[in-house]
Amino acid sequence: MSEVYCVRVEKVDKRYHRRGAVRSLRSSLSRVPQQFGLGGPLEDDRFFALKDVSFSVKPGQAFGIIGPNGAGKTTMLRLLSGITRPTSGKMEIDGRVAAIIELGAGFHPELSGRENIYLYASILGMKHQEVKAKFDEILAFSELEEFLDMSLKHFSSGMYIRLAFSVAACLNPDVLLIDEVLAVGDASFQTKSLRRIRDLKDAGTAIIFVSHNLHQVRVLCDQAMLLSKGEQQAIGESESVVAEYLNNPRYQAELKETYQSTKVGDGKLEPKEAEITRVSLLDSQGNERSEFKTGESLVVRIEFNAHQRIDCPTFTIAFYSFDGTLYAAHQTNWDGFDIDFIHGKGMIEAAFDQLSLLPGGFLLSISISDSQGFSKYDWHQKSYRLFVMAGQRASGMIFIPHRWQISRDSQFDN
Amino acid sequence: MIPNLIRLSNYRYFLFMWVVREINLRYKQAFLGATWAILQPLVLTFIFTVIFSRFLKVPTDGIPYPLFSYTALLPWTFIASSITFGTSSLVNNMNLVTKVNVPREVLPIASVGGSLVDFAASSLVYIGLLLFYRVPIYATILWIPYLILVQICLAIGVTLLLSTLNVFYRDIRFAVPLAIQIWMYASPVIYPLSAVPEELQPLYLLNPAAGLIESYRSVILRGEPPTPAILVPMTVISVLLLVFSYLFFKRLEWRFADVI
Repeated sequence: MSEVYCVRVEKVDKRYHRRGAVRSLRSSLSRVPQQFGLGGPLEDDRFFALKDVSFSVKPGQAFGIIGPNGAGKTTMLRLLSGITRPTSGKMEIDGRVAAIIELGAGFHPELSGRENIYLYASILGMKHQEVKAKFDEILAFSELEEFLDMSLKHFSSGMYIRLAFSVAACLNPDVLLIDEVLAVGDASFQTKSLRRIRDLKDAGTAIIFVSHNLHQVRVLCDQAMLLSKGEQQAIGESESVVAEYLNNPRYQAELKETYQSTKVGDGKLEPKEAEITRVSLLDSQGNERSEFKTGESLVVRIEFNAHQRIDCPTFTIAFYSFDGTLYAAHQTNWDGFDIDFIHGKGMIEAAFDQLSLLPGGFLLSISISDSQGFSKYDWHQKSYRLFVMAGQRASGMIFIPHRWQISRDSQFDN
Repeated sequence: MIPNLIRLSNYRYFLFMWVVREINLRYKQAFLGATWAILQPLVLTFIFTVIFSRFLKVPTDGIPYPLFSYTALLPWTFIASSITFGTSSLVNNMNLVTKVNVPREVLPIASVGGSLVDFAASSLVYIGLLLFYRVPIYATILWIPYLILVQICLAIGVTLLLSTLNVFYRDIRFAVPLAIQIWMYASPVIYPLSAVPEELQPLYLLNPAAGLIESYRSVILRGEPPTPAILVPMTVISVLLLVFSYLFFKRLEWRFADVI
């Protein structure tokens, strides 16, 4: 029996004109002689946005597309959603497609939340009766009940994404295309959205998911594809494709660039009795760096100034991934490292002999608090960048220090 | 073509929403709001009346000039405003065209829909005008639904064509206002069809707007059904234009997102 796919992409190319294709009548008329073979050949200024891409997705499968900026990920989604067609190659998609490609495309800022739910649903191809029947479900999912009659122009981008995702998710599409947008919502809505996507997937929806959030891709997708400059670099089980992306030195610069565009710092406290004056990340030679390899040693040095005597303070270092997931937090009192008091300037260091973080971008939060670790004197939230590069190869979320050992039954010994 | 039409019909709710949006958009920011819909033909009627019945004596086959000109301006304003709004409908909604897969013809068609609502509003004024001049009600007004149908076909046909061309050549945007003016003079808006030399009339009536306007005058003001010489060319040309424009539109539709 042949396998059932609901998305099939075969050897797809997409080429765009380098200078944009909007022409004036005049420039177009000036090309007429060339089109009839007079006055030299037409120069081909087209470039490949996608080149020879093939993959297929079965119902109930999630397929991730990852890669640096400008790799052609969004172009792929636009082709899949039918907004444009491939220059060559074949594409087959069965069933109803819902695509969330750009936040709020098709929303109207002058209309209210309620009207926009109807408008957006109609754009996704829902009939009026269907929307009516699902209106409450959509609204409940979005948690925007109180803003229902507010004009959309007063909505935050987080509210936009809630609304858009809620409508699309309640549509029960056969194929769901999602581009990046989930990064906008707050953490709790993100979690909820991901759960909903998983439910849809279990119910047989094919999901195609484009994201810079490699963790989400890893967790959500069965299969993934790595695109770079329009070409398919790797395809297969999502874990190994993500690992290839993170570990292959080719992509380090691009990865770093992507992470560097993320903003730093959720804000700082107004320092009270004590303040953090400087934080530095040091390697084994004592040089300050922001890039470390998995398995290398890292020292986090915190310089502080206590304006008055503080008894039994605690220091905390927390590692967040760029998408906001807390990977690890270490606090002096938890580690049994009791500090009797601090007063005036000083410095504390935490040494990590073998960095267990796998390649990716991280943000460090540093704080000084009271003996319980509750009330904070100073707190630099997600303020320091740490970029982990491929070193010790592994895949997953963390590197667990380990040793291998093998023994064989002696009867096979030569 | 058939699957495309089925798809369009599945999106009729979207079309409806888009017409509502179109109307909101046209008048929401305007101080006089929807009054503009009525004002436009009314002011033109006033100006034409002053110029063409006071200064220049244009023959109207015995019909009071305001009535004569408003009867023509009603369908004409509909066609002109459909085209004006519709031509830029694709380019103005770039966000929708490049980011969502909907049948794109909804956008120009919604512009026509918006103008149809304006047309209905101005028709109310027209009824008042008819009552004021004590125009008798002829049985031939039963032709009106047919005329409206032809007028919609014509407006959609032209709008689909021009909005497509405007995506590829932004020159269209500048050419349209001029073309609309020329088209008005080529239609019996300010003068009667009878002012056109008899031997030129078959050629003249290849302009479907001419036949349409003349038909309105004849069924409402004179109580005469339109002659086949008027009816046949305007119907055939309007329908052929619609079919051609639709096929043309659908053929190029997928390229819009790459070009805009």
